[in-house]
Amino acid sequence: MTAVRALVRPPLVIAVAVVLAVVVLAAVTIVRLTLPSEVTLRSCRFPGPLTPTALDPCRLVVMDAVTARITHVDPRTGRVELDLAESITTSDNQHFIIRLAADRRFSDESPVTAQGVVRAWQDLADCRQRQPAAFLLGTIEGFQTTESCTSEDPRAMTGLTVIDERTLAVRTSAPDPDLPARLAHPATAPMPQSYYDFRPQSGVVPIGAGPFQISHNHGSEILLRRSPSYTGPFPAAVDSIRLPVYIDGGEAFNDVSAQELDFTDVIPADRLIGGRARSASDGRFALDGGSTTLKALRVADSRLADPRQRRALSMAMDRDFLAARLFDGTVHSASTWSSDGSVGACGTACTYSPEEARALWEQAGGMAGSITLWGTRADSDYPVLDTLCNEWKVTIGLNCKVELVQDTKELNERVNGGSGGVTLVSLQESTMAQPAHLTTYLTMLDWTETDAATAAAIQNADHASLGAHLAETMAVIPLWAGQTPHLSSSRLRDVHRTPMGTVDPVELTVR
Amino acid sequence: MTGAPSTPNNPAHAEDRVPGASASRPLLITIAPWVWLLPAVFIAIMAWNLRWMSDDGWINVRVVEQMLAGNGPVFNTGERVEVGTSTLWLWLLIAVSALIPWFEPSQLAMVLGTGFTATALVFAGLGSMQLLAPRPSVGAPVIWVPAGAAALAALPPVWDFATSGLEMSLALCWLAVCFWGLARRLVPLPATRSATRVGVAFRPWWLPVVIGLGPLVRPDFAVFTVAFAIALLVQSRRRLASGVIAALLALVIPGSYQIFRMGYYAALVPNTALAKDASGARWGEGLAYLFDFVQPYAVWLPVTLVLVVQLTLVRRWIAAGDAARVALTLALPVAGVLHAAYFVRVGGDFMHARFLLPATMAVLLPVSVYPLRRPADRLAIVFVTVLVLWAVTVATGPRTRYADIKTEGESSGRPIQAGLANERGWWVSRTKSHETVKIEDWIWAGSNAEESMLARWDLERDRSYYAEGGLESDTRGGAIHDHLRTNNGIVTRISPGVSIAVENIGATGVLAGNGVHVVDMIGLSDAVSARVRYDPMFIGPARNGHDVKPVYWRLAQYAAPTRDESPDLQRARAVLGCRPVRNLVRATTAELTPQLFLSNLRHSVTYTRLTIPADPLTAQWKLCQ
Repeated sequence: MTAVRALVRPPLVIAVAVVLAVVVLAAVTIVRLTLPSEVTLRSCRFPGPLTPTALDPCRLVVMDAVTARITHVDPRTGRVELDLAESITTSDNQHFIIRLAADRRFSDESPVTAQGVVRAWQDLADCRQRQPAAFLLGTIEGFQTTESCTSEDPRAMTGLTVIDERTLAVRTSAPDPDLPARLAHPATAPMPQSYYDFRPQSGVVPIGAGPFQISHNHGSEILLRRSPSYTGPFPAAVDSIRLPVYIDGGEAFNDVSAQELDFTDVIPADRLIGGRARSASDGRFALDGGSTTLKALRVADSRLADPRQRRALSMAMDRDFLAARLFDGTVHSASTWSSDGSVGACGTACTYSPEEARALWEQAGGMAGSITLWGTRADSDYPVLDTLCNEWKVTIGLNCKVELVQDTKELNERVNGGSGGVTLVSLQESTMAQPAHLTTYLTMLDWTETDAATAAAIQNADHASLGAHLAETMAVIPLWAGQTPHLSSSRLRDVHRTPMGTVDPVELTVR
Repeated sequence: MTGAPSTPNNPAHAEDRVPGASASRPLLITIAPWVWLLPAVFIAIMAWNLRWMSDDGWINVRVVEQMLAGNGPVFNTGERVEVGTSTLWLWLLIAVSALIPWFEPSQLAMVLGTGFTATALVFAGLGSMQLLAPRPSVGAPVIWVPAGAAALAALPPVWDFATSGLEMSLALCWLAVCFWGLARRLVPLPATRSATRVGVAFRPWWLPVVIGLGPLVRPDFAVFTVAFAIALLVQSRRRLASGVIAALLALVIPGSYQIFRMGYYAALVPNTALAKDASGARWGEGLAYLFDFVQPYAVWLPVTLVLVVQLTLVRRWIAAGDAARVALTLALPVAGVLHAAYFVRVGGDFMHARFLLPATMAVLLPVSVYPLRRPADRLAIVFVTVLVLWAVTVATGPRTRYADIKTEGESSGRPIQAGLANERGWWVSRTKSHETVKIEDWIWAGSNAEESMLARWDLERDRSYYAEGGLESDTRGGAIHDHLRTNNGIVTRISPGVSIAVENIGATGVLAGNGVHVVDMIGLSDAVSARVRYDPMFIGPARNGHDVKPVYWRLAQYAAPTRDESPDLQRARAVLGCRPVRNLVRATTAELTPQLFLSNLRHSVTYTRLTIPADPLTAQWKLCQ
């Protein structure tokens, strides 16, 4: 008993506590120093297999990490740097000689060769595949556009010549000083022979020559680990990147707020109201200068076939007011069909005018029944749709309801399957992929609206023709445009966005 | 007496110290005098960790915001309706929010709630020490150990309702302070027959004042006020003047407020009592509510144990002629049982256990802490051990969960147990951030919160309409609902502005802002709907306290007339023009002048007794003769 009493004497207790605290602190420090560094980024359900040609942000970030390209764009300065290439020489910006660096290998240890690069580019440019990213190579001699494509006899690009194992020559149909910058896009990444030999398998765990390799892809999570065979100039700063799939974008926001996730680029509108996201994030909320998002409504309902109805719907929405209230000023009203204003001019049809909207709606005979506004859980679209529904209810008396599906893939399936209604679409545009953004209009318009001329306008990036068509039909109603916001955890030291608008995996560092 | 160390029987007291004790005495002996405070510390931790706002809590916040905006203690501008059940809690929130404006009222409610609940257990312990304390010269040193307080602190519903934005913390604290105030007037044991009556009933003066606050804590707390008043009179010298002065002190605040209530709100009771039909009998639902609380935690065990101990003590004190102790010890459980019985009669509540917590505390209060003497009293050790073991089991056991809170038993027209809710769990799961304390957490949180933002923005843009909610769930609206459905539930408002009718008015009301007129489909927010009586022919089955009043009573008040209105709506409009209802509307909406205040004062009984049949035809026949 005396011994027990002696043990609990305050000085001794304090001494023991101090020693214990020091030991625990030292242990924690050692463990932190030796633990591999890992970053977790929000991911979503992929709309298709993991291929380099994917342009959606969730797949793009994976392929960006897994592949290496001829060039690399410094996200801080925008400067084009050499990656797989040891040198790119040209005297006229039309004839390029690309010399590949020695000892660059894919993560399966096979070498990166000039033949491999040419094969990847021919594959991307294969017009039968209608790859939206094919525009990246559109200036190379022999590039065949989709509308002139014959499925029986696709032509290979004639502007590509393999000189030797590490050298290739590229010839464009006209001077193209921006070609090296476009060759930084993951869609142009060479892939090993095994990728082409086992395509179905490759779409789950693709192999590239990038700083990361896929450790596992469970469907609900992808784990990227630093590639041990990577010898390039842009090694990963972290050991691994975990990409959990979030069905609900709002949950990802919660997890970043709670520091349980490091990054999300989906900020639900209801978190923006009143500056919530800004004020609650201690400076971890930011707008990305590298990419913009255009929010628009795709009208795909036969009961709204009259352009006057669509114009009325457009004029019934108070875009400016909602930009301030719903989006905390992170967006501005869109009056064209691209965020940089280069496609069409919506004019008065995109200006709030409740009286004119009502008159136009009545002239067109209104609409019987109820319209469904579709959106996705992944993008946390509900508040936006609910607000738009309210605008129509109050202004023109349209009966509408909101339905959410899981993600874009399911959304497209529903709408193309004849569910009708109006769909909220978010078109993320980046400096590198703006023409690809135009091609998404192809998929949006092909239900009734697209004629050959429009399709050609889209393919040829003919902004004027496409804009005129959209202004006439209002099949897509522009809403808002703005820089893409993101939220990061305080663990992340810096977040840089690539020219594709995705987070740069190479630049990720933790505190 | 300010704390345990100064208790006469405390080991810290000089004559009771352990021989040889010094600055280096063992830790266990050092902390022993503070063990009784463990439940208070525990409940403070649990309350703060589980802090939350219920939708009903936001109703108080909306009134606070209306008050601070200069619109008076109302829910909707221009309608003098008392939507808060706890007057004291509401005015406390108003006062604190006015003094500390840089925090949201809901955040302040969290601090107040946690503080009041922990304080309640401190005063409960201090009161028990006074009730059970022997004279310093009697017996060996005493260690006070948690007993009833441990049992109360272990109950998960107490953790939940310590905060929630509602008044339960204040209610528990008021009970404990009254108990302590009465106990501290007792002479230490063993009391002699001649010495049990101490002083006059109005000394200290604050005690009758605090006891009199009961009806302002909650109107149903009048039963505790009466019980405490009896205990006060029994323990005081029998002098008429003493009793009269004490009664006057007790009545001064509630009496003044009652005059204000009658003149300002034109009613004798809060509107909640009228809307929720506080006088009706729903024994079946009430018993389900009781079992829903008693069964999962085996509450019968601590209650039985405590009652047995109390009866033993009472027998001993009766034998000793200590009427003061007997009165105080009996007052609490008797009032508690009456209080619980009242809530069983009215059908309980939809929030799990909430209204049975005061009764539980009342039963446990006299033995909140219990003295362990040397040599050890075996029965006391058994009593305390069983209580503490039960408390640990309950506190670490599973929480009550409900798969859903939808109404069942529609064929009988009565909701059954499934109508009860783990309210905290429900709202925490509804908000997207799973936080509920700040109003921003409720933006687009469902259950009408979305309509509120849209209505707020519409009002900002000078849009005007009346929007009827709940059309999908209410199948009894007939032609009126068909008409509303074709118009998205939106019709022209009777005057410019935005009105929305919803079933959960709390967070909706705060998010919508003071300018949006928020109509409660249950009738809490307007004087007319509150008086529409339950009728199974016209009001569908609902959870207790959630009878949605027929839509035509709302439309008649707030929607502009249209051609081809249904006969029910036309009759409802006609009833609003009949004298009793017209006078009521005028009493609560006309500009308040001294004349109207006096008129309301005179007619408040009539207005309170006014009931409106749910069927407009019957209402017309009854009220328009």
